Amino acid sequence: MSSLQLAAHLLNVGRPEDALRELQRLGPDEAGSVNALCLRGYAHLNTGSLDAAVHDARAGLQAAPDDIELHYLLSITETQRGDLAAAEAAILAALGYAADDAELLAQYSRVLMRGGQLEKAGRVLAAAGASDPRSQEVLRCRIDLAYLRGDTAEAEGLTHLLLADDAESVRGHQMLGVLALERGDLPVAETRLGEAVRLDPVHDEVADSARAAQILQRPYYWPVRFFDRFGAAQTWVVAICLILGLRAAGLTVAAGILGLTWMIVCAWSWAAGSRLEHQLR
Amino acid sequence: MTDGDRLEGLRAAVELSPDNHALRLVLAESLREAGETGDALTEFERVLDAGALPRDEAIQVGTDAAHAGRLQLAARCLELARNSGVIGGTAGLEDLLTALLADSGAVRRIDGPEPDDSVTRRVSVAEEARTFADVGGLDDVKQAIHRTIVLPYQRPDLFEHYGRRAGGGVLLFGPPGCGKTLLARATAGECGAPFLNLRIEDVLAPYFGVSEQRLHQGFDEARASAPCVLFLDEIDTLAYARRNQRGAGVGRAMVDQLLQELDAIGADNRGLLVLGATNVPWDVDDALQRPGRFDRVVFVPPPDTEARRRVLEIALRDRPSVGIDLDALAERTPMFSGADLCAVIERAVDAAIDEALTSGHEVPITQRHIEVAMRSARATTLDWLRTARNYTEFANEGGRYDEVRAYLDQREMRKLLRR
Repeated sequence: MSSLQLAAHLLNVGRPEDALRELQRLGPDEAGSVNALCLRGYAHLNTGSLDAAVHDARAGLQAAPDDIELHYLLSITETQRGDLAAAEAAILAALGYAADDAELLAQYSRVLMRGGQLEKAGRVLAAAGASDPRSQEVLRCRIDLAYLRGDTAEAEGLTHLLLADDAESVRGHQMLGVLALERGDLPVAETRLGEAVRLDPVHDEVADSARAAQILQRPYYWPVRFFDRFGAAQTWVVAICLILGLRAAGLTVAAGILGLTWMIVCAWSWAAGSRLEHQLR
Repeated sequence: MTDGDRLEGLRAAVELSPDNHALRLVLAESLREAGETGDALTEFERVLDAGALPRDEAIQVGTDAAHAGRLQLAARCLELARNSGVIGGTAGLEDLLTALLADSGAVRRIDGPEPDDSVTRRVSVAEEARTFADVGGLDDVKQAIHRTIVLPYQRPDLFEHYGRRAGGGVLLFGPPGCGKTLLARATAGECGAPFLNLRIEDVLAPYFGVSEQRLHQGFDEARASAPCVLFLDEIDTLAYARRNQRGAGVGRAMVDQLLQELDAIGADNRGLLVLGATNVPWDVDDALQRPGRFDRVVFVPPPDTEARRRVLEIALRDRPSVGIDLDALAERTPMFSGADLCAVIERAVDAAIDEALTSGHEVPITQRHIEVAMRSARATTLDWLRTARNYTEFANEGGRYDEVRAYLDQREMRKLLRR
């Protein structure tokens, strides 16, 4: 069993730190091979050492300029670093060798989405879908694109397709949870986000959202739910307009009662919000 | 009244009332305190014959008997300790007896030579001299392991009476660097069973089907050595959740093979205890955690105060140090793993070396150096515990992780985990 094979396995089972440790054991010749540099690049990417990942990818590309995997790795890493020009250059270089590859096209669409070029990303994804209609990666990108466009109905429909294909897709459950949270459907949000946490518990923010969805269902938190559902600014404007309108119409008693009620709701909402924050901590 | 008078009085009373075992016990203890070990052991033996020796005394009497060369009595005391479920010292007494028997030319247990093409790494009994006594603190965990794992080996009659056999699968999980491997070895030591270690490096092969074959071979070797403990360290590397695996790597096939081995399809797993250890139970394939496989889960938490003190003591051993308050340091380092504590000591050593280089003369490690080291120290287990909290909150089907949840719900723990 060579260290390179073991490192590849460790990377595959989500142990990038161990993979890096194993790669350090390689002799100088093997450590400089394209295969080793690619594995090390991915291991660095998975541990969040983006600069090191870029360094490995570029070092590998010097030895093998036509290596598609290294171009792909470079593009992903540069996207995460925020250097979209470099990410685009890398993925276009990869597409120069395999223009119809669905995964490469999906990555290109990600770069475009990150840069706000949603129309162009849609066209690229259409090409990717035509190339491989069953690609889950393409489906995931289509979900993201629909969400970024604000088309929540399409995002939800596509996510159900994703889950039909892979019932344990973390992304799928997470997306359905977020969409349910946005429309105020807390029980569904709790179930979906909870499932996403069960499948991948390392993301605290998802776990916090699941907890919030759980806590917010209690009756005490109805003012928070109310503001979340209709938006704080909009609700304020409507309330103030109503109070002023009643006053202008000469209904001062009604305006006073409404004003007082509004103040109580605001104070309650503030107290409930603070308590929610405390509970989530 | 002198000690001699007291002993004479007790002897006379026991002679008058030979069936008063409580009195005989007092006489035996008094004789032991007076240094008359031979006579004391004779009296203890009579109490033991009458079935009146308290379980708490069994280990002490057994140890004294072994040292006095009365191996028969020592063996009887060991049996009493085991049968009455005494944890502390049982394995130590057994080891002492084994050593004495070996010295006397008798053979108690033989570990066969490891075949050249063996997949598992057999740790010899001599090498595997660890017991629970070697693991500082973690009393609750030791208690749980003793009841669920060790006792079925020591009292097979009792457990078989209730239809429960020794063996099965137990998964130890907890943050890295907190003694899971040590506990696994100590468990094997307590059971008095051979300990076979099977790691991913021993199994993984580049050719199609060979990894599964090696895994099967590892289990076969363990079955041939039964009763024995087969330890699968970092079991997530062998049985990574299939839902997370992409492509056609060896991972899926290995999980399938491991499931077959645990289900003992076409084989007999009697007497085989499979111990798995992992830092990431959420990455272990769900199928492995179903009844009949790794159906018992033991949480190994970060070391408690006593264990931390012990780790610090060991880390400072053979190093020049003066005036370090280990108790206070152990109190100040909650949730620190063994590795974190060693790192604190290493940094303190570096600070002492720096000072020696600057001042030109050697200085011992002092509390001041520890304080310097503590400035940059942090418990690395906290991130793990946060993830564990997320997982146990949303994946606690059937109360499987109730124990961990109770641990994480402690007031102090909630405070520590607050971001």
